[in-house]
Amino acid sequence: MLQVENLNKSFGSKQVLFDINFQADNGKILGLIGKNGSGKTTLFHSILKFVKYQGKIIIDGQPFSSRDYNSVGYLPEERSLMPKLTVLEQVSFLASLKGMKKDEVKSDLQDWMQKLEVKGQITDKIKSLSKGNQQKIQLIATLIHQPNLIILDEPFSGLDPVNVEIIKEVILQEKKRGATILFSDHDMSNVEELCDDVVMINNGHIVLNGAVNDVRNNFGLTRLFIRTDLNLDNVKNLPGVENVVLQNNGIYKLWLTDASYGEEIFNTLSHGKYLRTFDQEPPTLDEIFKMKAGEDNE
Amino acid sequence: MNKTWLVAKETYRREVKNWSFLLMIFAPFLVLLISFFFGMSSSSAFDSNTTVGIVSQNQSIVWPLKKTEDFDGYKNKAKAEKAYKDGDISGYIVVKETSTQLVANYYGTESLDNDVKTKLFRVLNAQQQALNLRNAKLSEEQMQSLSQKVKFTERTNDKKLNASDEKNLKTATFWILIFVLYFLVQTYSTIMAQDIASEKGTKIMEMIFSSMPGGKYFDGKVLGIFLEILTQLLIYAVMFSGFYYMAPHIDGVKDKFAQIKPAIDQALGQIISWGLLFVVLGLILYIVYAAVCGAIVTKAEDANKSVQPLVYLTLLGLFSSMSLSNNPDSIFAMIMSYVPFLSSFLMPLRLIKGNATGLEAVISLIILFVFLLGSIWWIRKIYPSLILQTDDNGMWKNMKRALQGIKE
Repeated sequence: MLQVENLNKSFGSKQVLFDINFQADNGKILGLIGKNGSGKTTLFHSILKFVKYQGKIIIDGQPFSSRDYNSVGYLPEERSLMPKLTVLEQVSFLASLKGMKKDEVKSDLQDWMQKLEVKGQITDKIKSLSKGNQQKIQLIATLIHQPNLIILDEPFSGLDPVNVEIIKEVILQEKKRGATILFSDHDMSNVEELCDDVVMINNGHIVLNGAVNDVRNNFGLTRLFIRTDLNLDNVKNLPGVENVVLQNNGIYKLWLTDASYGEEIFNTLSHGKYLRTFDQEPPTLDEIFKMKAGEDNE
Repeated sequence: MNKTWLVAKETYRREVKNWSFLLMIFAPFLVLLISFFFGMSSSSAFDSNTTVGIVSQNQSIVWPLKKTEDFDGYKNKAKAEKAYKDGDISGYIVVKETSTQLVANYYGTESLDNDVKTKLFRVLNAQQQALNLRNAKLSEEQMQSLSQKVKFTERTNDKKLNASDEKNLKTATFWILIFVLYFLVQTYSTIMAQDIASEKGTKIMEMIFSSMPGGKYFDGKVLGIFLEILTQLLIYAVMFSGFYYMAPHIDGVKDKFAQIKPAIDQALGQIISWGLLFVVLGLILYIVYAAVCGAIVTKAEDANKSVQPLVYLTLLGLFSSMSLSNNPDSIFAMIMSYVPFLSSFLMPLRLIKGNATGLEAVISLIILFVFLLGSIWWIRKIYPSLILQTDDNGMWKNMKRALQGIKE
């Protein structure tokens, strides 16, 4: 379990993180979201002690210390390995810094390469692999020592949908193993799909923190999806409608000023008859993200 | 295994496995070998044209001259002339002998080489001398008194050098150490900076720093490069030892080696000195700062540019010690002999010239040592921040941001 308490970080006179507090539990995935430059990577760097900070980083009840290096796996945002080394040399070196022996690395590496469907051999030079496969090798180097705390900074960036699914599967397996996982992503659908909890940072401040469903539900069931014969103007005139969009699938998406209008609209549209589509939901993380980021810009 | 050692091992393995390392080790020998063969071939080409023909019926003249390999014997003038025309010899000498005098005539396009002339005269004069004695018809007693030679005895004292010789030897050893320092700093500061800059360029450092503190990683890098330097020095030491023990058994080398061996032995004895201490500490200091130079740039190709200040410092040290070697008591020499980076060049010079006391050397060494420890402490602290500055903001901005990064 990771606890971050009252973390503040400045570069010179410029403060970039303000009183950050959150907790990531074992066997759960926490998504860290925020705009570019909001402080996500600085927060990761602080957790990993790359930079000095004020506050506390606690892992399994103890302040972060040198003993924790071997139980951390970190995939940085920037993708790169040493091009002249072979896959085995590269992973062996990084894994040896995590306390693994070369023999263990060799046998585990084969399994991992199979699991992640890496096209290449352990004796291939890194530079001979495709970008996607290099990225997978970097993920293997992050996970091969079975860390308790896994930090993944935008793990899906630059990957095609097939490889995104492979990596999602691996992340879920690591969660099942009991690891504490933190990851950042700009694609909110990934965060919604994988994460149990979410922390949103904006300009160095936490603006949202909690279980993904709780965060969404806190915004109320203000999104309504309906299929009706009414035209757009008539839908706009329904009670409590703030905004309407006709989606490509013929379903209207309505933004309500309050969730309670849902029942009134249902009664108006159905008159006690069958309705093919009527779905009232909380806003998506993406909408919440845009809302929160937008609030700050105003 | 200790993580610092793992990094040192990896750094060492990567550097030494490289072809450029082998090239760096053997390049000086290749140059020497090539110039040796070039010299040999041009000298033999020159030699083939300097053989001179000698025409004489007197074998006491022909035989000793032929033994020198500068002369070829011919029975008559016609044969010698033919050989000359065919280009087999550069000229020929016809020696005629009367009852009282030898007459030698040289025929050729260029005058005789002095060395060849000396050999010729030595043989002809001895023959003329014998002829003179024969014609003088001396008694046995007179002959004996005329054959009396000078008694010459050589007495050398090679066990102890006098004060002046010792000082010269110390000075020579000092210059060897200074040039070794200059050469190692020039070579390895660039290697160090390039290694770190290229690693920084691959941006793998964040993964590495999630495995160990940046300061320990820095220790490993410096240690790895020092192992590389030691390997190079060890290879040279082994080669030198091989030459030292084999030279006395190699024909053509043993005579010259015997002449310089006492000086080599004395110079080796002088290596363990104050100068060595200053050189070793100075080298560590330069290498440590070369790591900083590599860490403040974002691309490997900028590494050479970043180590320029260190290159200029070594040049300043080298040229200062050269220009102040005749004026070691100047205020500049005195000040510079206490300034880290330069003291490694100037303080040993002042010591050899008798211009500084042992106490002054100790003070300078303490300053250098404390400065080195302080530098290592400070660089270990800023190193992770420097390495993680991957934006191309320029060297000074990167340094400024790194200094900000180490504050809470």
